[in-house]
Amino acid sequence: MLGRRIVLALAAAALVAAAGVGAQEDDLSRHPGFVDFNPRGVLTEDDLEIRISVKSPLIQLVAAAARAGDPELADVVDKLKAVEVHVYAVDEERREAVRQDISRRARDLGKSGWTEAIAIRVRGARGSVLMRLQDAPPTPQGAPQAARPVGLAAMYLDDKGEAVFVNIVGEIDAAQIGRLAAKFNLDVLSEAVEERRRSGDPE
Amino acid sequence: MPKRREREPSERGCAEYEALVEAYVDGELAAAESAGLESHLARCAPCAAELALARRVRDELRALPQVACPPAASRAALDYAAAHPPLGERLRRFRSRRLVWQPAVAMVLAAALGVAYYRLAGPPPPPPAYSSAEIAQAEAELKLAFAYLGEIGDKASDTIGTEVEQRVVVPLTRSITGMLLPEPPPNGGGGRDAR
Repeated sequence: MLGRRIVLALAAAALVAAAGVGAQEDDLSRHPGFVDFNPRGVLTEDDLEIRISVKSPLIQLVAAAARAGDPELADVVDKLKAVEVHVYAVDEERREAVRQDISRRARDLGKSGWTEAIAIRVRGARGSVLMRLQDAPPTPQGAPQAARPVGLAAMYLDDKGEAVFVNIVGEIDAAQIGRLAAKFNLDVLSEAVEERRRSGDPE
Repeated sequence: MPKRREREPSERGCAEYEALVEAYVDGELAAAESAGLESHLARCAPCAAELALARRVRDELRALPQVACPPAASRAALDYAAAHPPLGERLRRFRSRRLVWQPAVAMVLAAALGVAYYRLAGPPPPPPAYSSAEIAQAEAELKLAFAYLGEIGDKASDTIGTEVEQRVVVPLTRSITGMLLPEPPPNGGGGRDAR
């Protein structure tokens, strides 16, 4: 009897350990807020000018590091799982194909549960901002809550041929992200990031 | 019919004395037991007859010629006894062995499960270690990502123009704001449609 209990206990422990290891493998691509913006189709690696990819747990380390200096940034990024930005330079011959690609991606995302919040189709520019909402659990008192955004996807091709794809995965506070987006200056930050990349020195 | 002799309360019965007769004949009883038996035999004819029978059997057995057991037969008997221990002994050995092999089987089972899972899922990724430089770079890139998001909004506004902005963007922005930052529903309803 004792031996059988030992066998069962060890077998159960092995199974639990195996399940635990499996659970640790966080597959970002399965997250409802994830969008694959990797180069494909009309856009290739050669067109890629900037790629930003920051994922957990690095994001949480950034949040911890930024907590003292920029608490709003820390609050926003601490709840995120990944931030991806792809910036492409598109020559004039392929811009129409990229516009159609953006429209097609927006339609595909709409079919898979995303809500297109902004659609822009004017003067050679094409853009789409989509949100992925997820039902929130009811309050402890049992009252229903509004769905919460767990993903944001933004695509834009301007009339100069710059195509930008942004995917933010995780619990999103739209108001905070809006404030951050207005706060940071793109030109200054682009130069700073490029300078860091070249030097490899964060200081 | 002969009348049975009355027994004293403290006196042993014949059956108990008869059980001592064989040991008495072989000289294996203690002095006190021998004295008690002899006292009883002096008064009990049946038990005395038992003693006489035991002595006669012993004497006749001793008179028999000594026959040595063939070595092969002895070995065979010993081998058989070793191979076929009594049932109680076999049960005891089985229980003793079970305490050894069951944990061993459990460990082999656990190891097999671990190997199977390792092969199916691949090795677990090593815990990432980031330097302060990498964290600072990631922070700068996150800020740049938010700046790109703001740039999309700015470009959209610039491209669309005032008229379209007033007709499309402002209503949509209001709709988005309502969707993302919903007022607590008075009737407990969910979020609103953005479009």
